Amino acid sequence: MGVAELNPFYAAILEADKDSFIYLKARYIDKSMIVHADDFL
Amino acid sequence: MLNTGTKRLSVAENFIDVMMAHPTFEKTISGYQHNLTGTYFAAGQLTPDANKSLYTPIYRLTIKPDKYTVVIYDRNTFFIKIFNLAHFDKSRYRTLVQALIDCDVFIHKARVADPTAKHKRESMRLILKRDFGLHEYEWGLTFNGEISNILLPVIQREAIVNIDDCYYLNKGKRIQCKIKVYNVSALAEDRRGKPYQYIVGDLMKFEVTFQREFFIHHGYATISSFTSQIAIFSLLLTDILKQFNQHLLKKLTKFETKKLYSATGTTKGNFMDKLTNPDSLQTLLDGDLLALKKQLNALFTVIEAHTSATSANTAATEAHTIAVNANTAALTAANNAHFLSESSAFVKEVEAKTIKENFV
Repeated sequence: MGVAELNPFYAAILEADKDSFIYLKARYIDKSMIVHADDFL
Repeated sequence: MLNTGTKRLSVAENFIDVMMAHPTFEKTISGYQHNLTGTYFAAGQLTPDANKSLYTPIYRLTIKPDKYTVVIYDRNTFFIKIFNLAHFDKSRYRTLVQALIDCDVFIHKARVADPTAKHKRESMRLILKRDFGLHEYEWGLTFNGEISNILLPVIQREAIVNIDDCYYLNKGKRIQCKIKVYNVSALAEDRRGKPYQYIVGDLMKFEVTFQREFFIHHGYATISSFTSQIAIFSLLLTDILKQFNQHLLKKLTKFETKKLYSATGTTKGNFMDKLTNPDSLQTLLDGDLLALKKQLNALFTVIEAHTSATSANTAATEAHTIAVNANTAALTAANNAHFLSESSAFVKEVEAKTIKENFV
């Protein structure tokens, strides 16, 4: 649900406000590996 | 395997094979590593005329465990991208946790011998909370045609960088929020291939991307608090509007400001008030309050029922005690009477015996 659907003022100035995303990042992982092109040969 | 004593996110031994076997697996080149120096260059940093034979391409692997989640592995780091937050009224993490269990990349060890589905979910939930941190959060506002028409010249005038017709209103390596504004209508599918231009009625999109630097300095913005879209909006409202005010509203000329107030039916005094005190939050607050009141009333009813049951019990106990006391008293009286009568008979018998003996 977006704020424009709840609030008349936001609805008056916005067309949409639903497009949001979260990026999470792992702190540390227990393997160390960088994927090179050779890994797909 | 690394062993530094630090608690780390456990991933499957063959996690790359697991990702490659996933039906949604994709790989893209995210950058290049110099073969001799080991220096890393992001894909866009390497000039087109660079000798590619001197570099080894580094791949970014992605899978999509469900249509709202993307798991990314890039340069020894895992990322999880969660889309379409507005789709979820309640916490996004309930479905995310199941998606992460299903993709088999992360090892989740439930602390029981025979874990149920609930144990597994709890274990993955703890992994999310402990081993992941907020990296980016993007919030987008698409203004209607009238407001877009007022803001467009401001954006074109004030933009610091223009990359692929996206206007960036600030820049810097350690900025907490990245502000990007662009004509979302001109980039739509039906206008692809046509010259990028503004047509009256086009919509401008204002995007605030909260960066890692922001989350380092704002302790209240945590994974646990980033639940539904509305909850996140309530949490970041002041910060979103601060950016909006600093990078857009303050750049308007007097004439543009007047046009904006007229289009929004506001005045200089109440425009920001309406933005900072939105009814939506009040509605949410009212909703929460109502739910709390309902819970409280239900609790009162339970307490009342319990109290009257206890009172009835007490009264019954009291009546019982009185009856027992009366019984005890009656028994004591009867016992006493019996004892007295027995004693008196015994005394009489002894007396009679004594008299008889004396005569003999």
